[in-house]
Amino acid sequence: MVLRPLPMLHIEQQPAVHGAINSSTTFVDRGGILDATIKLFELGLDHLKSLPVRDLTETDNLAPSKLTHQVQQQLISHPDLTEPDATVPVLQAKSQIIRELRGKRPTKLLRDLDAIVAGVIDPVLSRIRLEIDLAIGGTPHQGPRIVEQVRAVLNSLVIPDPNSEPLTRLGRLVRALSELGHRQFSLPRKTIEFAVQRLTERALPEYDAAIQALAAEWVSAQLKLELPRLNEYCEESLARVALCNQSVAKIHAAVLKLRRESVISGHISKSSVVLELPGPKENDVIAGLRSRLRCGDQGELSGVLFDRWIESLRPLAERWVPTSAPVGVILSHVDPEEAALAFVQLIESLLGEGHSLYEIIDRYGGTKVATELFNRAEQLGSLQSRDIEPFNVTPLTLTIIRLPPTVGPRDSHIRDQLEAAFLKVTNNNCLILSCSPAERNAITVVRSKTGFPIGIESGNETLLIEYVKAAHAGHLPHLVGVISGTDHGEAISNYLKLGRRLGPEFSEVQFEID
Amino acid sequence: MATRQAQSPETRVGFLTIGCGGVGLDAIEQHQKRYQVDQRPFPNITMHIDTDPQTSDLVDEHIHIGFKDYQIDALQADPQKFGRGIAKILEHMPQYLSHEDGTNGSRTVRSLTQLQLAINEAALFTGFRRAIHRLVNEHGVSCVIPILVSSSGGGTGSALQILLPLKFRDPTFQARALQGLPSQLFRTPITFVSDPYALAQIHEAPHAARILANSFAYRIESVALERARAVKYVIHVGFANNQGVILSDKHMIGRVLGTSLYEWQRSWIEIKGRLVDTVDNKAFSTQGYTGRDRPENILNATFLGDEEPVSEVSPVNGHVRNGGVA
Repeated sequence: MVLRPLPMLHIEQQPAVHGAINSSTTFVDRGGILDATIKLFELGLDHLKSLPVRDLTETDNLAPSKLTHQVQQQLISHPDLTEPDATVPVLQAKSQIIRELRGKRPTKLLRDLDAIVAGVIDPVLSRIRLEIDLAIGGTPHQGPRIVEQVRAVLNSLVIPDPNSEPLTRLGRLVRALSELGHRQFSLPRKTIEFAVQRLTERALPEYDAAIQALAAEWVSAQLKLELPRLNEYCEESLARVALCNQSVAKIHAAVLKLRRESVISGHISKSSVVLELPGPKENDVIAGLRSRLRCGDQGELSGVLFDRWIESLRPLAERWVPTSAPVGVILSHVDPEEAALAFVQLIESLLGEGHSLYEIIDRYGGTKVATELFNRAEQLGSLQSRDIEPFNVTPLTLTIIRLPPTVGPRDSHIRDQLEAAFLKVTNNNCLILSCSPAERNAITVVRSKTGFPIGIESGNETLLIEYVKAAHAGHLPHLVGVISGTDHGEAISNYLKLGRRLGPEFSEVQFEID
Repeated sequence: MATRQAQSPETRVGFLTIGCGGVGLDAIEQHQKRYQVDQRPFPNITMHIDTDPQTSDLVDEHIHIGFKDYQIDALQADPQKFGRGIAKILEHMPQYLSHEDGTNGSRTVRSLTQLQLAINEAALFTGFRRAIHRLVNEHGVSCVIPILVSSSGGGTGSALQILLPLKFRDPTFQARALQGLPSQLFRTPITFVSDPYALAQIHEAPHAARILANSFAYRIESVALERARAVKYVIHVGFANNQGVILSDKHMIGRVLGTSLYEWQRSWIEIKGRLVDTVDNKAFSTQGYTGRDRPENILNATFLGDEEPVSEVSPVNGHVRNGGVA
């Protein structure tokens, strides 16, 4: 489809479907709030560093003797390993069981023994890991010290070597008792009875010793397996500490970035669509917060704010970690920019009376704000008064005003006054809408005028002069094959003619005219 | 009553907000920030079409139409296959189409965008199809209003503001982008353009002239589009107003364009309700501007070859320079 352009501007043939639109908005200078935020955030980090390190008492429970004792207690309560009675066959059977266990012959009892040892050691290891997590998570900056402390405990552990002596001695006694049984008629009865009694008395403690040695052997083997893993866990913990420190540094950087952005936003021409309103100063913000949170000094205030901030971050990290996770874990699992914004929002939410947008507007003057925003939002461009009924041009004018939700006790009253001011300045011809709760810091005014032909817009003259200049320099401004009158994108000759009438400097320029 | 809460969104109308070129991207970034803060109050998918590969995370659908390896050669292999005018552009633009420079975007030359769009038409169809399907599937809309946003002076946005509405009327587009969906789903586009004075001012004179010339070419072409009813409304963000506001900052242009567009969409039901009785009705009327100061009344002398000015009247809109009407 090739469109047919108007040979000239021919305004009367142009559809009146053009519109002009503009929007203005308020900008509260939040420099003071952000300066106070940075100061309190940095003091909050000092507060985090000052927290005491948690004691790692659970590591004491890793002593092999303690663990052996617990395993031994459970072994002797196992039906197959209970203390034998004084009969020789029973002693023989128990001794054989222990021998088979040491030989690791696969039996149900061997599996039970493994389970008993794991049941004693694993909970201790889990508690140690949890303690490391809590200690590092609570005081991440102390991470290396905490890991060093755990490693010192691990290195001090003396893991005993397997001791086969008690079982050997028990075996000898059992064999002696067995020999006596075979030779009961070759010695006097009394002698046999005396010998059996004495050997049996000695065999029972040896059985206990053999069970203890078995427990010690199993505990040692398990610890040899688990301690390197615990060391690896310490390494991982150090990596998590590094991650947390990085995250804190990023959050700090994000807070500073918000300040920089605020400075950049503040560099706005006075005659722009942005109406700048003065915000509170840094000292006012801090003094207001101290008073509101009843804190004696800035250090105390930063501690209170830091704790509240961490609480506000927990829901943000909920997707990754439990909400009860320690501070370091929470900080490692939040988006730094979200976290920085949460700190700023916390400060803003605690500013109290006199600092809401409506309070600031009230100080500036509601009518003044309404008038200035309305004026600044006037559509850009000029129709040179041709948008009137005598010329059959009657554009539709619209004004849309977006007001933020009220937060402070006086806000509703101020908002009512502001609405009245807007209605007055727009002759009741406006649409007032509420912003979403997330958009608390700005009022936006949009004005549009729709329904005029582009030919009456004052910019045509300027644009046409430039059209001629660019054509003279060889520029091809048009699309090709879209409208008639231009073969390969060159300027349309009739418009060039028109342009020559506008700029005397073009009078000497010869254009190819159809 | 003028005061009311934000109305509940009409669920059947969805917007396909298409940012074209760099200014279009700035605008839809601003638009999306507001849209997301407001918890997406109306069905909308944003699309960014550009000859520059850079885009934003806030964009739902990015269509990069810049030349890729060997695409220029492919165009030259048989220009007729790529549509009307392509052969002419190739013939007159050799300096822009070397292998070394060909992939540098549109460089303020609108017809270069036309070339790049022609060879990347398949990506365009796919992108539109995906975006329309998302609007229908995710938002259950029964009509999609495409909204084009850009500057009118750049090489890319200004060209796409004309080429896309034409493409939307093309049966091939309707067949390939709307595959299986009713053609009534896709409505006549609305365009939002920023006049490029501020962009021109940051460049040296020759380049500034090209930007402003593009804007005038766009105006000529957009009137032709309007007359063919290929666009519904053309909304401008200009440079200055009578209250002393000057929109001279590039960042602010995107902000104003994006904010204005967003609020327009947010209040669409209210706005449309008032447009149907006024602007839409007027568009059906055969009688347009009735002022007698139209340029044709005073420029006959020019066409007759008379080099002397016939009056102190501006030939563009016929206004008497001292403020009255001729």
